[in-house]
Amino acid sequence: MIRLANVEKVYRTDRIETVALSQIDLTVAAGEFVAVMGPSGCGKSTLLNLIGLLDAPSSGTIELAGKPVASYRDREVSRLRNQTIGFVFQTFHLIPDLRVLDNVELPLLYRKMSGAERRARATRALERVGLSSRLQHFPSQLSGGQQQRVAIARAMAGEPRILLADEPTGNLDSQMGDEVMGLLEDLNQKEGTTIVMVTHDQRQADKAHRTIRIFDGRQVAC
Amino acid sequence: MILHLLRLVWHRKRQSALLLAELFASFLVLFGVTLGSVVAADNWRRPLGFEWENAWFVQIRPSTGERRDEVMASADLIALRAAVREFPEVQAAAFIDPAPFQQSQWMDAGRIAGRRVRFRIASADDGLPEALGIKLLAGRWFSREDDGAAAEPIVVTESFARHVFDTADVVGRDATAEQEGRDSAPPPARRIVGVLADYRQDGELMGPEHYVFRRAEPASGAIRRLPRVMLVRVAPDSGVALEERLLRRLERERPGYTFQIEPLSQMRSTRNSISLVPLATGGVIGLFLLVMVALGLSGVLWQNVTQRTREIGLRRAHGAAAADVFRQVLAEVALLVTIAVLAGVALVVQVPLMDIVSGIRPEVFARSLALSVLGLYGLALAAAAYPARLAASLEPAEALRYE
Ligand SMILES: Nc1ncnc2c1ncn2[C@@H]1O[C@H](COP(=O)(O)OP(=O)(O)OP(=O)(O)O)[C@@H](O)[C@H]1O
Ligand SMILES: [Mg+2]
Repeated sequence: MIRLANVEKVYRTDRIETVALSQIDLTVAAGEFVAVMGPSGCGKSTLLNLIGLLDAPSSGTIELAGKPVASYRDREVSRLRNQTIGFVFQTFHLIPDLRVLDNVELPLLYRKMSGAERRARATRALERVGLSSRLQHFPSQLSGGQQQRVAIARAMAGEPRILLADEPTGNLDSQMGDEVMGLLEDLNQKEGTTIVMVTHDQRQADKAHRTIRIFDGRQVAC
Repeated sequence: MILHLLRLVWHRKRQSALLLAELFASFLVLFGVTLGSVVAADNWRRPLGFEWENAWFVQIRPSTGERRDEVMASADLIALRAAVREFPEVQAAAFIDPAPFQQSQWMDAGRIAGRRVRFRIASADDGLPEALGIKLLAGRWFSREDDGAAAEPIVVTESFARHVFDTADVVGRDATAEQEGRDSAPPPARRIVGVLADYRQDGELMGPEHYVFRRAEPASGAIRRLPRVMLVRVAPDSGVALEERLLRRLERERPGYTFQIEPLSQMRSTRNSISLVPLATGGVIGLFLLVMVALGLSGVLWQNVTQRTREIGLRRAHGAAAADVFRQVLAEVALLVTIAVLAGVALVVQVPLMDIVSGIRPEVFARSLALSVLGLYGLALAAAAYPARLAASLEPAEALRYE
């Protein structure tokens, strides 16, 4: 499903070069549930961005569904992001000027679909994260945990085959965190969604099939 | 998608209101400047209704300095005209008052056939069409036929005819103005004998005005006010030598008068350069305003689109292609422009500009409106397109980090 071969990511600013990732080789099979762990600043978000096609590696290749991503054109990459990948950002990235429901509809906006169906799907996704009573709120009217769940609902609404979640339980209390984890496990087991999740919580990582550890931009064997 | 955009615009009330205000103000300025330019261009293009090339302007003044009506005699004018016509280089000579490009003008106004009308008026003798190259649309010019007529014969422009009678077919119609008050003198009886396409005394920069000629033929005897300008049509390439000879001949014919000759082409340049001063001033101010509007609009739109780099990144991350985002941002701007333009047009149409500022024809008004609407769309889309493309071309992760 996902293959990274000798991937490196270097951030270049005016004076400093930051090697965020190097020599990453990674294969994630379809239907797998993988946890990514590592200290802050070690490159976890960077890795997820690369897998989610939000950023391009400095070198190395990324393959998605058996084809190197670099060979795709913008239209095709966009379609992959839209239909195959769901992304939960570490910092949510909700549009403050849109209601919760409209925020969750966002990925569906770029699919051929009737407005009514979009509504229905977004509502269903919000019900699953327990926010059916907050459809008409604006993000600023929600708690951090609720915003996190809106971001998860948005990633789920498109029913992607791959879900990439950057610390989806980071802002939740342990009970809510467990509920979200239950949701992810559910998606993985019942719908066969491939999941890559970044977490700091060993307890959550234990629920995944396997854990990848990263230290200072490099994969650590475990 | 349209609904989605409308919702965005609606929830971003403050930014949208700011943008709308800027767009609205820009539209008004754009419209004002466009209207001014279109009116000027329209005036410049319309035919004058006469030919100024190879025509000379001859001013006739009694040298005593006394009031001319008391000392000038019809017989003098007839003799002077005959003397000029003797020259082989002279093709025609006729009296007119006021002459083309002259600064003086006569206005008349009244209620004719139930319609109020204001119009410019000039007196001319029977030979004016040959001297000025005037062509009639219908009817005829003044002639001996009019000697002793009960009603004063007049020749009117087509715009006058349409304004008063709703038709250009007015030859033979009575054009006597109604008596205004019981105490005022009854206006003279007038009858239309001919129709001109147009006559623009002030030249190319004169706005559309109704114009009427009345007869002032010295040979007819019945003349209230003697004209003081003779127009002489000369052979092409006639120069100063002929001017000198004409002058000497005129002075010999009537020593009690002084004469001054000037080619009509020269009067036209003088007149146009005088009219051009306010026009050029207006043009410079208009250009300045346009630049201000373009800069202001680009700035506001640029800022608006740049502020949304993260939103654009988010949309890209969730599957919008670069082209989708680009189109969406432009659609949103077009939506705002449409709202601003609708408001602007509603306002502009309410104000009866055409009544306040005379000389604006409805076609010119409509054309200016259409041009300024297109102009605003063009300007706004151009200002939004570049930052939108910039944002859409970023990798989503980069756009999402944008501060
Ligand atoms: N745009 C950027 N420009 C320069 N350096 C960057 C950029 N983004 C990330 N980095 C650097 O890359 C490294 C990895 O960052 P990343 O965000 O992947 O860490 P992380 O593992 O997700 O950390 P956290 O657990 O705190 O979220 C960091 O050292 C960071 O400073
Ligand atoms: Mg991170």
